[in-house]
Amino acid sequence: MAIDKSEKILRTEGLKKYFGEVKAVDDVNLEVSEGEILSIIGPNGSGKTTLLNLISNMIEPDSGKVFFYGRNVTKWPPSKLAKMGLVRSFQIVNLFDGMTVMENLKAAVASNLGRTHRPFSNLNKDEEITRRSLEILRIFKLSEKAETLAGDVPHGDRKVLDVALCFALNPKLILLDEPTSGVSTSEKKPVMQRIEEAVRKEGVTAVIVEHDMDIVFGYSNRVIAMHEGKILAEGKPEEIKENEQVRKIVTGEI
Amino acid sequence: MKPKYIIAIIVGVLLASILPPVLPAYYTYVLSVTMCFAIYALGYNILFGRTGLLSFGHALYLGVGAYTVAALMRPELGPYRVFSMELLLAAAIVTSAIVGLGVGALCIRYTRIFFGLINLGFVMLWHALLLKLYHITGGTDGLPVYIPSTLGITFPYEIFRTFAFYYYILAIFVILTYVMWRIYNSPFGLALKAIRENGVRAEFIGIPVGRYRLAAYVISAIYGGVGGALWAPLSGQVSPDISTWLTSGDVVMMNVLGGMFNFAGPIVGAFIFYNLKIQIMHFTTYWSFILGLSAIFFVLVFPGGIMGWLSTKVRRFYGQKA
Repeated sequence: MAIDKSEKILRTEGLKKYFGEVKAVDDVNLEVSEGEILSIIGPNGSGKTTLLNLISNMIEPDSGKVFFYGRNVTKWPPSKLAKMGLVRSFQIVNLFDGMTVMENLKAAVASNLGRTHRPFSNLNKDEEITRRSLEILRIFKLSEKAETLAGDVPHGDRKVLDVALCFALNPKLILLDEPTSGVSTSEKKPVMQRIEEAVRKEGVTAVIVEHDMDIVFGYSNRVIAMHEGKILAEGKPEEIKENEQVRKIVTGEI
Repeated sequence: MKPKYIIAIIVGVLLASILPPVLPAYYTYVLSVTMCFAIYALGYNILFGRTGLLSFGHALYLGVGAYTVAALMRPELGPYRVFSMELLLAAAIVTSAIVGLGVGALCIRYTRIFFGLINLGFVMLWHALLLKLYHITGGTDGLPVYIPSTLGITFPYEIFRTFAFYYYILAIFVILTYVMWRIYNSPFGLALKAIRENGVRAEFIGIPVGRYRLAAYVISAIYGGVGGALWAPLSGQVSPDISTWLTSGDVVMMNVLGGMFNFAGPIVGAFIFYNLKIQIMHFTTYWSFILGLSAIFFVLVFPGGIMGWLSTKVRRFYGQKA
């Protein structure tokens, strides 16, 4: 499908999702430019993950629209979005646990190359699938774990594999939901570094959701602070860091 | 495929080929029936072990295949009666694929126990139809099945049943096993495994989960249909007994017994289950009690099925050597 580069890579229009009385996402208008790393921060329950779920069509919005390169993709199934280059990772690790790390990546690469609808071709003889899977393994420093079951590798590596699966899909826009959650404090930085390197190297656009400001500040071009389903503030990392309102609500400083 | 597998398969097929002259006629017949069930079980496992969908109603397809053969042989059809086994198989593939596509499209909207029970509902419905539409299906008596021609040759009854048809079924069994092996080792097979492991994530890496589940369902339906179509001439009669919740449960048992996460599991399971059943039936009328007991024993001792247990043993053996 042709992509219109003159349009913003991602735009949302009046996106809304209420859970009963709770306004999880309340009239969010968002624009993401190609090549930037945008971080969305906010305290727990501010609607960050719900926003990501709406964009990736994990859940349907009550109202509002999502545009990907100017095309209305609000009702597209996730598999179709992934084929177009809009992919996401998950806060709670979401892998194929009973398959090896290599098989996890192969499944994603095969899907991206449109090979999964071939029931009689030999997977192990498909050099393109193998080559690209090995490349992703190397970029994310997972090569040593290739033959281990995804369910058996340490949590930090599982988080990285969750993100690596997105890269195996040859993405244009990648949505990362708390890529370092549940990772020990000492491991957070190296995990984040591995992810940032990949983002820069592959030149993809990234939207990162994170509740811990400090993790994302160093890596972001732009930061959005959310509170009670609305965008509270938006700007360069330094601006957001200095913003009184954000400090009070997001970091809990008085 | 590794050379050692190819050798093992050639040896296996050669062994299977010299059996009929050696074995008593009855056992040749039993082995033929076993292979029909092995085809049924192998097909079932792409849905169950591979895609992670447990159906309690797959004997529906065994019945569709068997009744397709019987229906096309009915004397009422006059000059249009079909006796060519190849044509009958083609017809069974078509009917089971069509029924599988229709029923599957409804079923795959659900997963887990709901999927299992909707399938059970369909096999009960089908069973009731077979009983009630007796002017078409022959009711409880079912329909007679005549001797078909195999590759254009019509054998006398005894030779057909205990000799010739054995080779015919063996050939089809080998072909269908090879086809399934190709599917398992293809990117499509990997996608099905991904769906079993995590349907949500599979969708997010670009696999249209619903359509792939339906594809796996139709493949399992076709294998069931072929199994039923080959069984019908062996049995000489089709009756509603072939399509019940019991025969639907048998195939689940075969897969669990043999090992649903191993390619050869369903085949081994079908051989053990059916032959155990036959042997136990010989010496007691309480065969279902003994069969149930041995099933419980197998599941408790070999939780990964017999092939699952064997493959860990083999892997451990080679692991220690290296």
